[in-house]
Amino acid sequence: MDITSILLIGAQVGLIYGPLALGIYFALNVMSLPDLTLEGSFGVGGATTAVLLLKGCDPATALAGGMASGMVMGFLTACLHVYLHMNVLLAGILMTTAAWSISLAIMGAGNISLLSQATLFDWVGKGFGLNAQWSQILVGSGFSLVVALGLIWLLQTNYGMSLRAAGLNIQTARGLGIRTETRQIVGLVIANGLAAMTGGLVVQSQGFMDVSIQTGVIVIGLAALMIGMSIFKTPRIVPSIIGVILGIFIYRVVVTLALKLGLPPYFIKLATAVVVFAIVAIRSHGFGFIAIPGTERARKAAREHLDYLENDRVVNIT
Amino acid sequence: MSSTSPETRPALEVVNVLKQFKQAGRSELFTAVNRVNLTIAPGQIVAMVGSNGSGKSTLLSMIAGSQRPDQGEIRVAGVAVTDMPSWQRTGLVALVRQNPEHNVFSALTIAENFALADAGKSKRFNLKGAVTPRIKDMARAALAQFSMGLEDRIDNLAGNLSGGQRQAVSVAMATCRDPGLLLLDEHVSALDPTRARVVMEKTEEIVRARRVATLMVTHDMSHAIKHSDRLILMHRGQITMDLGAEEKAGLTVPTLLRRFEELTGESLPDSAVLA
Ligand SMILES: Nc1ncnc2c1ncn2[C@@H]1O[C@H](COP(=O)(O)OP(=O)(O)OP(=O)(O)O)[C@@H](O)[C@H]1O
Ligand SMILES: [Mg+2]
Repeated sequence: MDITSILLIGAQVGLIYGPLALGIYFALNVMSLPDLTLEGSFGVGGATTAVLLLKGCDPATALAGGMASGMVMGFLTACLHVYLHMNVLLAGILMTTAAWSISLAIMGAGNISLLSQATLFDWVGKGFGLNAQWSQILVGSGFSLVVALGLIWLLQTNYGMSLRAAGLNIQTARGLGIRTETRQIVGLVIANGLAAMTGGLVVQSQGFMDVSIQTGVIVIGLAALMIGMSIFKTPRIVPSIIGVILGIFIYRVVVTLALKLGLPPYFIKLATAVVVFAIVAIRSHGFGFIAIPGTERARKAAREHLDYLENDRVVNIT
Repeated sequence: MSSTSPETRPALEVVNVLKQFKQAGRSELFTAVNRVNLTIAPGQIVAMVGSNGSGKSTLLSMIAGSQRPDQGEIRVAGVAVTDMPSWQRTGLVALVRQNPEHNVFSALTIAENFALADAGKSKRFNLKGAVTPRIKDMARAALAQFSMGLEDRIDNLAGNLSGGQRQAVSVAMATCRDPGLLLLDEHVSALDPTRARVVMEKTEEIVRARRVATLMVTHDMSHAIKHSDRLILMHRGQITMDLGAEEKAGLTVPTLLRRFEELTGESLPDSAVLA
């Protein structure tokens, strides 16, 4: 088995998901808003991009249109939260369910083929004389890099700092003069725009749009986020963002490896879930949960587990 | 022109403020703050004492805007703030809470915390870099006043500081914002006695130098007597004692505790007595 080819496939398929993973990082980690709408925005963004391509828009405009549709989804979720006082988790579940119908309505059909439409990948391939794989790597890493640098810049500005504050402690933030509700709206608009950007890129790279592409896509981003947050365990922005990009790449390499080793493709989602379970387990327990009973390590793990149970909190989302 | 200049306008006017809470399983409401009237002159330092649950924090959070009164009016520097969201009041009031977690952002560096406080002062949350050399100088100068060595740690995450250090940062941040009114809710109760004394003395020094009107809640009677111009006692949602500078002069902790018992029929647990 060829390591380079696996790494290349990981970069080719994975880096396109960079904006989505950073969107999830932004919503969950920076804003502390567990927004599942990201999954729906991915689908709606893909659908809008596909339809705009069919209508004759150029690939960049189509992608921008797709992003705008995702931003509208994020805006609606935020309004459900801010004005209807709805829990973000609940609002996201409803919006994602609705997104399925919205995607179908935009597309007017269950799937759209884009084989005769020029895409960003064709542009880059022609422009630089690259094959399909390298143009995907270039586009994916380009978008991931620009989004990562953009977020790093934004989050170091006064406004970005106020976004972070709104995601850390709402009462404290308001006490410092930050209108937290507008920060939540802006945060979800940005995060969903990023999810939709990946939706539009995926549709362009695979040459078709199917309404089912949104299903379970949030788990890919979560896997990247979990891997990334485990690499550099710090709340600082720059290492976190680098970690998330590394995370999406590592995740895809692992999946590629699993497929090469003969894992049937329908097991990918299960494997992804297992990867996330494993990372969460290692993050919270170290390797204590496989400690031999009676050892000091096992006792420490038992004590930590008891701490967790004693401090567990219920979340009522109604 | 208005006849009342900012200098003569009271820093705080609380007029007939009432706050009630629903009680689980009971039909009648619990009155936490019962028609309180309180006026604080510019630059005046007022200490507020009272037993647990007497409504001190509730009153402070209504002034800062995180809770709204059921009835009554609150004016800060002449501005009616009763229904103003807390984020709009930041030019007028700054609140330092009892819990250090609620005053600074642990996941941000000290300098970043100061950048937020500074941007919040003018509500200028723009797209310019937050941590500038000016912010760092400001943070260093503000922290150096406490002589706790914090000025050398401004690039550390605030979460790496102890509770007491965080409270010192909170006071420094709050006074940097130049509010007309500073609210301190047991801001040194998380500190060891020595640090508590240092932070308390520095706090008084800073607010006197900046002429910030201050309403300070404390359970430490000696702090209440020593670091104030006026001492008020809150009991069951009402102000039951209000001592001006003359009446306060010569007051000792034992006499204060005795007066408290006479007024309320309860004894006041005081950390100064226990210590
Ligand atoms: N959100 C709330 N819901 C119901 N009751 C409340 C709420 N907040 C405060 N109370 C009640 O109001 C009363 C006053 O509370 P408050 O926190 O103002 O007391 P405090 O004087 O600050 O006490 P302490 O010295 O312990 O800090 C208490 O009896 C408390 O139980
Ligand atoms: Mg209190």
